Order: sequence, then structure tokens, then C-alpha cells
Amino acid sequence: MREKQDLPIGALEISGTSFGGRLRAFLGTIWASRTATVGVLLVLFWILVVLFSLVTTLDPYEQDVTSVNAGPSPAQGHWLGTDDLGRDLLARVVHGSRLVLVLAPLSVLCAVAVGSTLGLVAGYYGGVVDDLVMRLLDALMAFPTILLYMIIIAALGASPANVVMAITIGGTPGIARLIRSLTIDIKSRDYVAAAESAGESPLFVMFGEILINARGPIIVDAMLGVGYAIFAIGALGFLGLGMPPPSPDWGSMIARARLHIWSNPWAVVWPSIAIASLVVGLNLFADGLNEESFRYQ
Amino acid sequence: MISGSAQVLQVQNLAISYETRHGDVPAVRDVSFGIRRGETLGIVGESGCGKSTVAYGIVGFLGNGHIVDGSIKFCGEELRGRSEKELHRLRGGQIAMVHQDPMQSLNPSMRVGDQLSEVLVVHRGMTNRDACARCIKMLDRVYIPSPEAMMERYPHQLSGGQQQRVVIAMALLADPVLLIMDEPTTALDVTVEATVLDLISELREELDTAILYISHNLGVIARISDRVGVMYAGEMVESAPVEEIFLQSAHPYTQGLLRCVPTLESSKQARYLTPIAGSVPSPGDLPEGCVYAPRCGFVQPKCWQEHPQLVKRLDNHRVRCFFAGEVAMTDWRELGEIPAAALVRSGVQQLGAEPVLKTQNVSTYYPHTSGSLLNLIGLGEKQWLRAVDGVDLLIPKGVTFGVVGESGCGKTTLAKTIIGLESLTGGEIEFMGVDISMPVRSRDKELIKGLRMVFQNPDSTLNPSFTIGYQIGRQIRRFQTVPRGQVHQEVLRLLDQVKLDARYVSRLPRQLSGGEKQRVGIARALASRPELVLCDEPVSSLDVSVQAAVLNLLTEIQRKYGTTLLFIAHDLSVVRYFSDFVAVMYLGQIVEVGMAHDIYEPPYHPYTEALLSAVPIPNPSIQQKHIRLEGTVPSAFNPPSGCRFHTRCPRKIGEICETQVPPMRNLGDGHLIACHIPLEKLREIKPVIFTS
Repeated sequence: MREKQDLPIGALEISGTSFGGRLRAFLGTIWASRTATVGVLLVLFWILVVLFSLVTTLDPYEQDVTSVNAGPSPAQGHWLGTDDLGRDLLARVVHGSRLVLVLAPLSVLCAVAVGSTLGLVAGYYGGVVDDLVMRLLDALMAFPTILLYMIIIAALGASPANVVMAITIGGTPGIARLIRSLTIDIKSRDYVAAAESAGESPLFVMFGEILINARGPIIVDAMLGVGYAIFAIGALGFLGLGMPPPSPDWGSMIARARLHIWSNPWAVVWPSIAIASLVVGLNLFADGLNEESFRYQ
Repeated sequence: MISGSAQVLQVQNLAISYETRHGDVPAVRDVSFGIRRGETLGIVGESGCGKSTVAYGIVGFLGNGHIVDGSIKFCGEELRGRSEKELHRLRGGQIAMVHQDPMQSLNPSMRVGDQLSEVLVVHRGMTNRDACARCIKMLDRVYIPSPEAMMERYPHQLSGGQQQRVVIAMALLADPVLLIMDEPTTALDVTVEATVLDLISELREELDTAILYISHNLGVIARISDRVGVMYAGEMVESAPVEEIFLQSAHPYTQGLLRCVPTLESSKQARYLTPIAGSVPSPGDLPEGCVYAPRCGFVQPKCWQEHPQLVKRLDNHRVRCFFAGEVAMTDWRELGEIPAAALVRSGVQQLGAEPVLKTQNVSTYYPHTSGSLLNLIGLGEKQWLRAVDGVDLLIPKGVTFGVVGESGCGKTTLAKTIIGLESLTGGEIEFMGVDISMPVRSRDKELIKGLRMVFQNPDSTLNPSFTIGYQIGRQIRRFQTVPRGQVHQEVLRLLDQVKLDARYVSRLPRQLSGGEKQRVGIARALASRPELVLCDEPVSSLDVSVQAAVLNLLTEIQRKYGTTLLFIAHDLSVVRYFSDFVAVMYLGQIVEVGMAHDIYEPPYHPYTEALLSAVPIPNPSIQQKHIRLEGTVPSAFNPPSGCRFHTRCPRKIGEICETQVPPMRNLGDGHLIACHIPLEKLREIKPVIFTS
């Protein structure tokens, strides 16, 4: 009924359908934004660190009794210094990265899986189902996240699996809300009506037709979510609810080094920089990507 | 301020480019025109031709675009290259703009009165009281009923037509010298459009304003303009007084546009529409010579190499074509005659045929609960929106059955009810003799297979994440129309059917144009080899040249396979052209049904008569009766008693219309009219459309 406005044609980004073409278009989008580029570089750096941790001989548990709570001293082989037990800080930060970069994405993945399913069901069926699911999630949201984590970990005990579970439960309501609102929008599109009129099952319509078209916002939200998860893992470690000692968890490293902050501030600085740079990197990446993909629309 | 020549706006060699990630893209090139006081210049062209860009260039609202070349003189003063502040002073309140969507110009959280008087209080320094009085006068001027009450309302409480009137009133408050209207009636219903167009013409005569009127609709342009500029791919290709454009056009594009519009006088039995081959080139990728050469039927070697200029042909008639003289001489109104052998059996013979679809007293109500406290605890009274209320249809096999009506009349709901996306509140639907009065989920696969639908919006009809091949293939696999191994060939066959080649299999919907998407939508519906296809406004958001191609395609498919089509549209010309039978709907009910040529000639139902008199016709030599409907369509929550049309009917005969539901009167040949007016009286009605 309405004529589309005369838009400049360049507004429609047309790229190839092949994987290579899409990858190139995706990379082009990233390089076009300085924010995203910086973010990607930061994240890439930490991914390299994880890979490095797999091959290095640096031992995060070995104690060097000759230098305890020392500052950075390459001469002694401790590039970043040592902690109060004489363990090499570089080794601990490097090995700690592996923990964080596995647990954080894993827990976000779980939250996205559970949250998408709930959001899809609530948004697609609406009515009583929607009320029921969303009120339950609202109740969950009413808890301050950190309190929720503490309750779950205190009840189940501190272990990597339980940390993942806690973050999953904490992240689910937000993602479910996002997917629900996207679902309500997408389900009014003609292609959903077309699938329904062909007698497709609700399951196919939800996962095959709707979810795939919500992927853009989900990816951006998940990337931000990984940032929050890294914070959460750090916070839990700091509170003594994360990985059990002596694992090189960044949060617990800070908590422990805090006691000696006046004699050796480096032991607090390195893991703090690690957490901050990774989280900032992820956020810049997500922001830049989001901004760049909407720039010419 | 106005100089003696009374030339209000003079645009010379205007060129505008947009900045994109891939560099500058020229959207408008070498556009020149002038508008005098009291004159309306219509600019017409398909989407993507730069019409709106010209308008935005004049008001300096280009976003990521900028003026590259040329000049814009407003009342003798150059606007290009001025600072924002100077522009503000020069333009002052003297240029006003009305957009397509009135809600774009109205603040949803402000009362109408406050928004209107703000213009005067802030810009003219008037006192609140004076401003209010002036606004009420202006609202009255644009025929808003009870303007005092309207001042207190919020925009969402107004109908679309009223909103657009308020915007026009707002534009006029500043006493503009130039009024720019960008598709102001495109989103409105045809009867509302007619009243708004009347208003615009009347105001122009009275206030002596210059109007730049942009539209893609040739009929609207023919009705409103004094002079017309035709734009194609960012260039003005022809400009002339309105009669010359429509009756003696000399550019192949103008002729092409006129040839592909269905008119009220013709049907698909009589002629093919002549679509324009190809599509508008993208501004970043223009042909070297004449921009129209790739689509032109008159193309000569010279056209590919040299770029033609807009040259004078007659007084006031300028054409951008090397061969304008020859083009103008051709008998372009002689249209593609259909070979006799291809003629479909006309509707009459179909009357006795076995019905494919039969609906009896079909009703679809939507429950509506207001947000009151009683409703919150489930004690409130439920209200029902009667979207479709007692519709009887009988669709014979192999015909095209058109359903026409204004927005909100329930035509789309009717289609969705038939296909099972909405559940029936009452009545029965029978498809090929089988009862299908249940939602699609409880229907047998064989039934689903026989009854498919084509959707309205080309941008949402296909799932943007999957390739064309996958989406069509999914239907084939689902309904197992061919053995597993041959799915790919079947996809190619279906694509070929809708005139798309094998390259489209691996493309994504965003790589397709609107017309191509709609073709894929048709191919998807045909994949299950259905008996009946419901087409819900399949062409209404397409440009006319593309619309013609899609209509031809549907006609061809129907001839080949004998598919029955239920064709829903709001455009009476398209329905007339395309349908064998037509049903006219008003407020959830059918008021008139019959063979197409019977509907469009007397005797009419008074509502049909009003619709026909409102249709804009792209031919200035044709006259129409002047019938305008009063008021707005009543709410479907609480439809009027008796005849639902009685609140607006210009031919209401008395109390009987308010108290008794009109009977369906049979005029023979399946022509039924639901009206209390005696048949003899109905037969005396003169035709709405006549040549002067």
C-alpha cells in the first residue's frame, strides 16, 4: 500500500552468499569501525594467551621461596613478579585466562540456550503461557544477581560446573526477555504466516523460522553477556566462591593479593588489568559491531 | 517578497548525491523545473527514481546526502550554499512540507491544539488565545468536524484521513508560499484520498500557493497537477502540461508507465498489460548513454553512447529523448491484444461450474478486553471486534474472484479465516466439497496442499535467512509432490514458471527486488500444486511496471493450470482488470457481488458507486461523478444497526435503512446487491465514469 521511500541504493549491503564472501563482509564491517577493531584486537590477544597457556612450561603452582611478594624482575625469571607464596604471576595470569575464556562463553551459551527456548515459547504462544513463564523469570530477576550466585554456590559448593550453572541461571531471564520481544515482532511477519498456513509444526516455526532471524541481537547480547560472565567469575573468585584454591583464578588472585597490596601492589594490578582489558575488549567489539551494522540504515 | 514573475521556485540542473560506505552515489542528476504561484507541479516516477530526494534537497533535509551541483532559487534567492541560519531566514515559514505518513509530523504525546498553536506562538509571536482561534478556523477550513473538540484530542484518536488534514492545516498555518507534498495520500483509502485531493485543489485555488506534489500514482497526478514532471533514475525525462503528458507523451518511459496501469475500462480477457522490461537501475550503476536505454522499446545505437538532454519539443513540453518526435507519433495506446485462442472462457460459463470454495455465514470475531479493573479479574464484559460478519461466497472452479474494499473492511481476515490462520467464530467453509471450518493445524495435509496463500508484503513474505531454493524446496519436500531425487529440478521448474532463472536458487531474499520476491512467493504457493490460491494484495506494494508483470504472470499460470484465485485488493482498477467475479466488502460484510463488468456498471450498490467515483484515473479527459462519503468508517466493535452503510450512504432512503438488514437482491447472472433501494431505482443510476 505504501511506496517505499526513495532510499539510496547503497544502503542495501549486498554481499555474496558463499562463506568466504560473508566472512569478508563481516570483517569489512569490523575494520570499518575503530571501536570494533580495538575490541577485536583485545579479545584476540587473550585468545592467543589461552593458546600460549597450552604449550608453555610456565607452572602456576610452583613456588619460588627465594622471591616472595616480589615486583617484576626479568632477571629472576619472574616477568610480572610473584605472589605471597612465591608463585610466578605471569604463569598464574596466563593459566587463569584459560579458565575464564572457557567458563564464561560456556555459561553464556547455556544461558542463551535456556533463555531462547523460554523466550520463544512465551512470545510465540502468548496468553497464559507467556504470563506463566515471564512471571517466573521476573521473580528470578528480582534477586540481585550476585546474591543469586552466592545462594546457588553456597548450596551446591564451589566448582567450575556450579559456577557455570549459577551464571546460566542468572543470565537466563534477560535473554528470555530479549528473545520474547523479538519473537513477538517476528511472528507477525508474513513468512511465519506462510509457514503456519503450510501446516508446519509450532516447533519448526519457532526454531526454524523465528529464532534464526533473531540471531543478530542474540549475538550482540551474548557478547556483552560474556563480559558480564567474566566479571561474575572474577567476583565469585574474589568472594571465595569461585574455583577452589590453588587454581589460578583471577578473582581469587586479587582477593589474596589484596592483603599485601601495600607491600606488593603488582599482584593486584596484573589480574585486574586482565579482567578489565578482556571485558572492555568484548564490550567495544559488541558496541562497534552494533553501531557499524546500523550506520547506513 | 514575491517578484513580478511570480516564479516561486526555480530549480536548475540540481544534482544530489548520497554518501555510502562504497563512496558517493548520485541519486539525482540534472533536474530542472520551476513552479509559479497557484500552480501545482506533479512529479511522478517509480520508487528509487529520486522524487523524494528532490523534495528533501529543497528543504535542506538530506541526511547523509548533499547537493553536488545546480541551484535552487526560492522567490529569487539562491538557497544552495547558505548556512543553516540564513536558510532558516530565507525559508522562514514560507516552505511547508507534508509527508506520506502523518504520524511522522505529529507528536503523539501532544494534543492537536497545542501542536498547531505552537507554530503560531513560537514562530509568529502570537498570544495563545489568538493562536487557538486561528487554529480552530484552519481546522474548520480543512473540513475537520467539530474543530474545537479536535483541538483537545491526541493524534492517535484521529483517523488517518483526519491526521493528514491536521498536518495540512499545520502546514498552511504558516501561510507558505510553497507547499511540498510527498505522497500525502498514498497511505490513505481511496475514498479518503479523494476528499484530501479535493481539499488540496480547493486550497490551492483559494490561497494561490505553489504546490510541488510527489506521487507514484499516475491517477492522482492526473487529477491534481497543472504540469507534470516524469522522473526516471534520478533524471527528469519529460515535463509538460498534464493533458500533454497523459495524451501526447513523447518519452518511451512515460508511455510505458501509462501502458502498464490497469484501467477501469479493460479486463484481462481483452488485453495484456504491457510491463516495462527490467528494473530501475541503481544510482551507483547507471548505463552510459540514455539511462532508459536498457528498458526502452525504441532503443537505437545512438542511445547507448550518448546521453540525451532535456530539450524543448513544443511550448512547455520538454523531453529527454533523441527520438521524441517518432516516439510521440507511435500508436502507443494500441495495447497488446490477446490472441483469440488464449481467451479464457468468460465468467458466465463458469457460473454453473462446481464451486471450489463455498462459505456460509462465515464470521470471525476478535475478543477485546479493555484495561478496566473488572476485566483484570475476569469479570468484565467481553467486546467483540466483528472483523468478518456473515459472509457467503461461492467461488466457481478456475475463475479469479476479486474481493475489494477499504482498509479495515475485513478482506484480509476473510482470507486468513479461509486458510485457517484465524479460527471461525461462526459459519461454515467448504473446500471441494469437504468441510474445512477448522484451524489449519487440525486440517488434513491433502487439504492444506490444495489451498495456499500469497502474501502482501514482499519484504516479509520470504524468510530473510534462507535461500530461495531452500524455501521453495521445503514446500516440495513437505507435500511430496515429486520423488526425493527430483526436488532440485522441481524448484527450477517452479522458478521458471515465475520467470526467474536457475541463478536465483542460491540467492537470499535481500538480493531480490520487490517484484522478484513476490514471484518467489507465488512459486512457493504453487509448489504444492494447489487448487485454490488466496492472493492477499499481492501487487499493492509494487511499482506499476512490476505490478503489471506479476499480474500477467498470475493470468498465465491460471490459464495453464486452471488454478482458482481469490484475489484481494484495495485498488479497484486492478481488481476490475484482473477478476472475473468481484465482491465489494464494507465493515465485515459483502454489499455487492457479481461478474466484474456488472459491478463496474450500473446498477451499483451506493457504496460501490462512491468507491468508483473516488478512483483516481490516469486520463484527464475522463470525468467522474463527484460523490464523497461523509464521516469515517464506524467501529467494527459496534457496527450500525440495519444496513451498516446507512451512516454514510448518500442514497439513504429512510428509516428502513437504520432498522432492517437489507436483503440480498438478485439482479440476474449472479449479480447480488444488499440494499433497500428498489431495483428499478438502482437501475436508473447513471454511470459514474464518462468521457467529456
